[in-house]
Amino acid sequence: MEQEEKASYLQIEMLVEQTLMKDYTKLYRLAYQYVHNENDALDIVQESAYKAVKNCTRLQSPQYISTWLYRIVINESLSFLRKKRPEQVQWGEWDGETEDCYADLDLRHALMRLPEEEKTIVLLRFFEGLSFQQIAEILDENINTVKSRLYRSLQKLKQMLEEGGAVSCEAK
Amino acid sequence: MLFPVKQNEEAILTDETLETLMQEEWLSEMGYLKEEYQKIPVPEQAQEAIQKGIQRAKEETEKVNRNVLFRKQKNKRYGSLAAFATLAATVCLFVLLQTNTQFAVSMAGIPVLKPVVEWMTGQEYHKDVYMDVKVAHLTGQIGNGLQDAIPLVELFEQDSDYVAVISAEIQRQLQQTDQKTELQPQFYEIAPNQCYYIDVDGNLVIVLEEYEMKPEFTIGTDVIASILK
Repeated sequence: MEQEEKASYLQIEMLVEQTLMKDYTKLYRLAYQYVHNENDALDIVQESAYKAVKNCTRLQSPQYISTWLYRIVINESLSFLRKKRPEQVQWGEWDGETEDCYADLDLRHALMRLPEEEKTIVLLRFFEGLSFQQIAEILDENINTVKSRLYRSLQKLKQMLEEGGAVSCEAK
Repeated sequence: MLFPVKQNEEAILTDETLETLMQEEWLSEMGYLKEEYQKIPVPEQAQEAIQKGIQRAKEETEKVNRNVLFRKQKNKRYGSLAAFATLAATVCLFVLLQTNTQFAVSMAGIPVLKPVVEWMTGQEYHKDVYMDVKVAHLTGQIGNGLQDAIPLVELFEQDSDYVAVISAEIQRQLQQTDQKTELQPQFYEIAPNQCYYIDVDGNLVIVLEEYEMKPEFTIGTDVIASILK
């Protein structure tokens, strides 16, 4: 019995490691999306890998590994931001060479103004292309809650855009 | 939970409504943002960072495992000796109890031992029988053998909630120690037939095998005095 438990523990640990190595670019980008800084994103990714392997016994089934890893990275990123700026958690500015204004600028800035929880759902759905089921697993929420939260977020975005370009280029 | 739950927010939304909204023209811009997101450069160190995190976790886990292994080996080494000593002590006790009524009465005066004595002699002894006999060394030798002889439940008054009383005491002790909780499984309550033994001082010692770093919890007699048989 003890042997069996040990075997399955090692198996899960191995699967977690494999998934980490396979998905590391996704996990890095996700962290970067919150902190917008290379070094901070690297720290978050390292800490997440540590916690994932350390706590992999808590995983009930290997099928949840990848959503679980997303969840760890999101939690790490948010707690990093809270520590850094305890007064409020901000989405962070989009950086990079984006001075030239694209058509998408308004949507991007509107997205920045969404509360953290709503932005996370929009990001997971539209940028990561995850299913509602997967997002629900990541956020540990009911699937209907995820859907209605996405609906509410999109309506807010739409409203901001209709009110005439929430923020424009000079905000940079 | 990551985010606070908002009440009643899923009241009216249907899948079609959401689907329609997601198909709207203005959202096509999301495609640009997604492309941009996917172009976020990933530095080489990202893979390294992941490996470092994995390594750190593994080293810590190994350290814990080594300690546990050490404890297990130690137990194994003394295991057979202890079993023999226990058997010998139990036989001695049994013979003494059968042949020496005085001794049996005095042993029955020790709260935790009373049911043992009664079980071995087949007689009942009452609380008001009091003899000043120093048997501490003997109770110590009985050691681990007792747990097989009598289920924990037999030590306590019928209908007494000994599980709750002992569990609360263990909770209290756990909170006092600096045991890292993330290394330990969450403790809720003891099993009705939890492993135990009686230590040298006649105290009840509960053994929680899943607490590998420190699996034994001594329950003071004062804690359980009111529910002991």
